[in-house]
Amino acid sequence: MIRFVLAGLTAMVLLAGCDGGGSTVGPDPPEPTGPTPLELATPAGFPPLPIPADNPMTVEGVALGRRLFFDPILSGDNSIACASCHRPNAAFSDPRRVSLGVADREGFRNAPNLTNIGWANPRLFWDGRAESLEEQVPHPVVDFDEMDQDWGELLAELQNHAAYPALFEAAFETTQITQDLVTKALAQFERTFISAEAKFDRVQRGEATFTDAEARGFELFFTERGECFHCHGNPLFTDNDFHDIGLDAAPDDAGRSDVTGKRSDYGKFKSPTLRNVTVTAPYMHDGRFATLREAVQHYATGPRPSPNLDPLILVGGFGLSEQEVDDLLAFLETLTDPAFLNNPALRPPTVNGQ
Amino acid sequence: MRRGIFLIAALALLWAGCDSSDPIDNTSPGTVVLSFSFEVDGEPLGFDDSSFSYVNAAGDTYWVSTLRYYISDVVLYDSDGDRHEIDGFHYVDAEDASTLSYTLSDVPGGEYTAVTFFLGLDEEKNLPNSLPTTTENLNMAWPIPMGGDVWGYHHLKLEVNYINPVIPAEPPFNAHLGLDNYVTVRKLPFPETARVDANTMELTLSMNVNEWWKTPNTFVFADHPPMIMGMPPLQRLLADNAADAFTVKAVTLRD
Ligand code: HEC
Ligand code: HEC
Repeated sequence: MIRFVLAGLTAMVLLAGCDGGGSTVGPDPPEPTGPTPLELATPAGFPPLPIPADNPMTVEGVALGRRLFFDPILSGDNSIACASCHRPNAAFSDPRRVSLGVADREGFRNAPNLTNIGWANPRLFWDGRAESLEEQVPHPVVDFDEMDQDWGELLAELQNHAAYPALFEAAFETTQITQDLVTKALAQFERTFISAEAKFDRVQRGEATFTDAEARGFELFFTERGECFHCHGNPLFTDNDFHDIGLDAAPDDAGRSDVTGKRSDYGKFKSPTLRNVTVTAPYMHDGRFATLREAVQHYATGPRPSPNLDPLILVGGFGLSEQEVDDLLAFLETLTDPAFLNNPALRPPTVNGQ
Repeated sequence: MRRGIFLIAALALLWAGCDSSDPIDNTSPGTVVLSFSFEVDGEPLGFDDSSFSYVNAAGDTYWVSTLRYYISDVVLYDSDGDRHEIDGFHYVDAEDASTLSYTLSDVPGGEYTAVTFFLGLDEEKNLPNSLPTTTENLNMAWPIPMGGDVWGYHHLKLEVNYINPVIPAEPPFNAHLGLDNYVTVRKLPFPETARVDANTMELTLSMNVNEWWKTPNTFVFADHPPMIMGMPPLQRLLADNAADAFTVKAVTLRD
């Protein structure tokens, strides 16, 4: 328990450390000693955070990634940043049903919650088509419906930028900006999206207690009455696996089978984490549910007999009463982590606190 | 396979030529690899798809979408009938090739004739939060409100759908075993005696999925609810059925 608190504090201190005290993350003079290693503490009970050997976490790498994440320079017409579709106050999801990219082009899936995304290796995207954050980053940059950027142009823009060459020098000891380094910096920043300070976590540590409704919701969530834990279990609240939960009798998005080519994967999507789920509306891969109540109600009465319906989901739902849905919603509220959602280190680098 | 069997035959011949007084004498430790394969009454197990469907003892047609379990505390029997227990556990996901072999190193040298193990984790191992926090182990956690504060993990997840003339839409049956309902696998004789002596002995273990549904208890899916984590006696019945689900198909010796 104590170790957990320490780990949490360390993570906060470290994250605050990357914030440069809330002021500009400006061009640092290149240090002769090279970038400063950043030790990210893994919250108690979490799996070890997978960090590729060729992209160690550094203070300067995270600071650079942070700046890139919020900078529209990444898109073809310099109008869209990663954060346009992954909003920090929405746990890096998008409040729009499907995201709008360059020139308001519509994508076809909802931008997911990126809470604890560092643990999603090797299954990034709703269909798991990227195997690491490093592999994932280039997708939105060149996607026609998202940032519609040309890497050559982007690299030239960054290279000719007043601040970026020095930031790359600080992070990677070279002023030669490459796709590989842009990707690595963004991946480093994304690995700091760590959330483990929700009320649920405090209850686990004995520092808080559930209300009656939350306790009933916990009980439903973690028993076969609700079945939720099998796919959204503690501590990540996702099993990082793919399922068809019966949203449609004949799904029109192939999902996982686009990647594996297996008919038995047709219509399966990755279970999203339910940490901070109260702020990530709308819900499901296509954003079909505007409210969390509708999303939970699906499990109560909604599932249809789709060809690859998961055996853990029953056609017609678990028959949860309205009271039980309310209780589940009360429990899901306890997964909201204000310290994460308001963490200044996960907001745009600002000048004079702006 | 054939080469391995030939090798065993050759070794056996050589061995017969020697004066074998105590099989454990003068031998060096070796490696034993358990490799896991799956069948349904002799047909290889396919996954997730009604084109791989099987018929159980009760006559139900079914197919499998998930088969994940732990193996623990392997015991090898030497030719004197003595037990050599190798403490440890291993996670198997029948669909994930990287989990289909379990390597035991430093196994005492000697002549072995049989193997057994638990499917699942016994009282000593099945403790809350006792296993490394890998995604696999976390996904096997037994939830606290169902006894997970005492018993840490599922022993097994075997998830099937079946065809039933009365219940529409191919209902599921989820055989999730937990609590003290691990399987004490019967003693599995090797097809022939094999010697560990600074070498590797690979045991090809096959699980016949149909054994879960017969002897001593013929199992009718539709007689039971689709989820049974809250039904320990029913879990026990399945665990008893599975005691004879495994066979050692082959023993292969390598240098
Ligand atoms: C135009 C909107 C848009 C922009 C801009 C955008 N994304 Fe995304 N992002 C999405 C959508 C939509 C998905 C889900 C796509 C899918 O799974 O098929 C997604 C998925 C992801 C995922 C995978 C999440 C998971 O759960 O597997 C990560 C990580 C991510 N984006 C990071 C980024 C980064 C970094 C950038 C900037 C380089 C970026 N995104 C730019 C819309 C956007
Ligand atoms: C069989 C696995 C499984 C079970 C059981 C399950 N879920 Fe899900 N859940 C998923 C998958 C997969 C998705 C994404 C589905 C999609 O978009 O196609 C999902 C999506 C969600 C979402 C939407 C999250 C978002 O960010 O869009 C919520 C909320 C949710 N589940 C809550 C629950 C609750 C509450 C329970 C228990 C009543 C539950 N789930 C049981 C697999 C499961």
